[in-house]
Amino acid sequence: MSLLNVNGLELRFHSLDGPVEPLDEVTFNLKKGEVLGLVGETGCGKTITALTTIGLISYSGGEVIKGKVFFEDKSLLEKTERDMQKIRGAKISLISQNPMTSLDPVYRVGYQIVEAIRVHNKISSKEARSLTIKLMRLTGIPLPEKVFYQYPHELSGGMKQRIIIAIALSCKPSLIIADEPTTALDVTIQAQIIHLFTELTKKIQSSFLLITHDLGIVAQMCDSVAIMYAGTIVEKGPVHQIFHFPKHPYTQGLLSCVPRINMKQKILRTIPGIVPHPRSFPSGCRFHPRCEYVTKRCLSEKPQPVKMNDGTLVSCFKYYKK
Amino acid sequence: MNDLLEVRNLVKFFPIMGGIMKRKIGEVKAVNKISFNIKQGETVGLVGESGCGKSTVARLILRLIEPTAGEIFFQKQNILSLSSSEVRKMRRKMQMVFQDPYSTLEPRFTIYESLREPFIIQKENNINLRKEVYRLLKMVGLKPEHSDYYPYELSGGQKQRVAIARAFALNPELVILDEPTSSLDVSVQAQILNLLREMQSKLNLTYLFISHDLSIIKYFCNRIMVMYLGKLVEIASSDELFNNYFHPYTKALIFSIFVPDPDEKLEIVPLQGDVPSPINLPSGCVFHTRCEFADEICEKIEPKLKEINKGHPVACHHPLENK
Repeated sequence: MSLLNVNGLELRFHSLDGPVEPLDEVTFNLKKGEVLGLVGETGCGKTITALTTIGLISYSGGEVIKGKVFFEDKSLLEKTERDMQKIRGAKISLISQNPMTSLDPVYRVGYQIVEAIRVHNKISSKEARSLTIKLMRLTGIPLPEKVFYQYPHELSGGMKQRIIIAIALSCKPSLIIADEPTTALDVTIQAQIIHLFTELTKKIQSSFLLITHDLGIVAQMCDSVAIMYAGTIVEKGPVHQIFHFPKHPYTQGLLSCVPRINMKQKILRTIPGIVPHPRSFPSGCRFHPRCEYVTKRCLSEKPQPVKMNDGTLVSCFKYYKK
Repeated sequence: MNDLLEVRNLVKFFPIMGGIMKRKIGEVKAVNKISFNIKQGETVGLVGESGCGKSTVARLILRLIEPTAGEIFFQKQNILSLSSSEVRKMRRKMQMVFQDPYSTLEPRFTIYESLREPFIIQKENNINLRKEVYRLLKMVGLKPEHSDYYPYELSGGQKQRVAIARAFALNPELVILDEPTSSLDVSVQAQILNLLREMQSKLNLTYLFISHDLSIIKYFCNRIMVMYLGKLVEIASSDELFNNYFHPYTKALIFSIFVPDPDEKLEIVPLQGDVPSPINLPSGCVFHTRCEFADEICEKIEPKLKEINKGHPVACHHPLENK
């Protein structure tokens, strides 16, 4: 059953140099209980896609010009701000990239979790407090009774991210969006948080939309993957198919340009060129200037997703039936 | 082969000033008595988490900051005894590529002006500056047209190429690469790593490569030094370190790598707790607060780097038994 369905999404941002439309018919499906990885490089549109699904895009200066977002079979884009407030935090929650800036520095961290609970549930502050302590224990915070009364600046980055995760889990949401949840953390702390996430996905019934550029984390955590490039989803499918039989030239390039610990060769395969700027996305297939299989057709025509035998969807003319 | 660089008992404590009298109230023990050497032509990796003192080591070697104690020998010469004009001369042999290409290029200079700077500072008067700059741009895969661009007109990867060209302008012998790819996208990171490797074989360079990413270090370096809270805890060749690690911290770092393969799900046993503050270092072994094998000795006595295998020193009271 589909929990979240994003269909043909396109956005517009107004800037001093005129409108920018970074997304091109972004379409994906997230099933109940699934962990979906949305992968891509900087500026490919991962974060704005996530912000749209949680109804925060207008605060970032964007507007939806095309497409639909369905959550639990209801259209989210037609909801009023008041309705969205009831959904945000209760049914869809967000874990953002930087734990240093997503907590309020002047409130004790325990209170910030209590607040999230009491906004959405009618319970006494005493009950909310004991629930908060339980959540803090669940996210691996040592001495929760003490940490409850601490301020964000007294906690380390990893601890702050655990508080954010506790807030995100507080109302048992059916969808958790995690936007680069470990990018700002150290490697050993990152391992702790990813470990926590894999435990949590087993324990709670939520679905995850994990946004990241780290293919290692995707391989460890996700059930399925959508690869994004320059505002388009170029390939999506089950995690095994994407990592073992990548089909789109961009996916192939992305997977082969990461150094691996068991690698013998001295020269890495690279994707030539640079990630284009949203203001000057190429015509036709947006990957064509960097693609080694480019044909005349790629320059002018946009490839539509093709369903492959193994269940992946690929947007590339290479896979069109002759 | 000869030692190009030798560091002995290097210490750097940063004072913390505070109170109404602005007196010294404490110290950040960034680098705490470390010794190592780098041979001519080697690529040595320095790996550790943020705040462990990696970048401070780099800045000390270049004498961008003065050490609290210790000695640094570059080509057998103690560089800490040099006068400031001698340091300037020495720096043409030692260069650094910084982490963030967005802040290391002067925004009001064109690329030409930035790249001409090393020649002016080192008083290279008898050369055609334009020609040299074009040569440098070509060397790092940019075009002569780029010389008239300003940094904001270039992408992150292109800026890092300019920073590399600037570091290599005067044919240095040792280049310190301080997280040269961590602010770049993965597809661009591979381009930069290939470029650095190509330059090394062309110019016969020695690299000190600093990173927190062990998989990049493993790919790029011959020898790896693992640093934790201002201390070197293990030094070994890349293959030896990965197949035959002894320090529990090295193990934790290796097991924090997420392999991009869904079939190779690692049994992650994450380290408990956070990195302690370098202001109040734990007693004894600095790692004992997070180590699963820690006992009384670890709390009291600081382990010294001891060679366990040949060329493989480890600082641990209870080195791991090998599998």
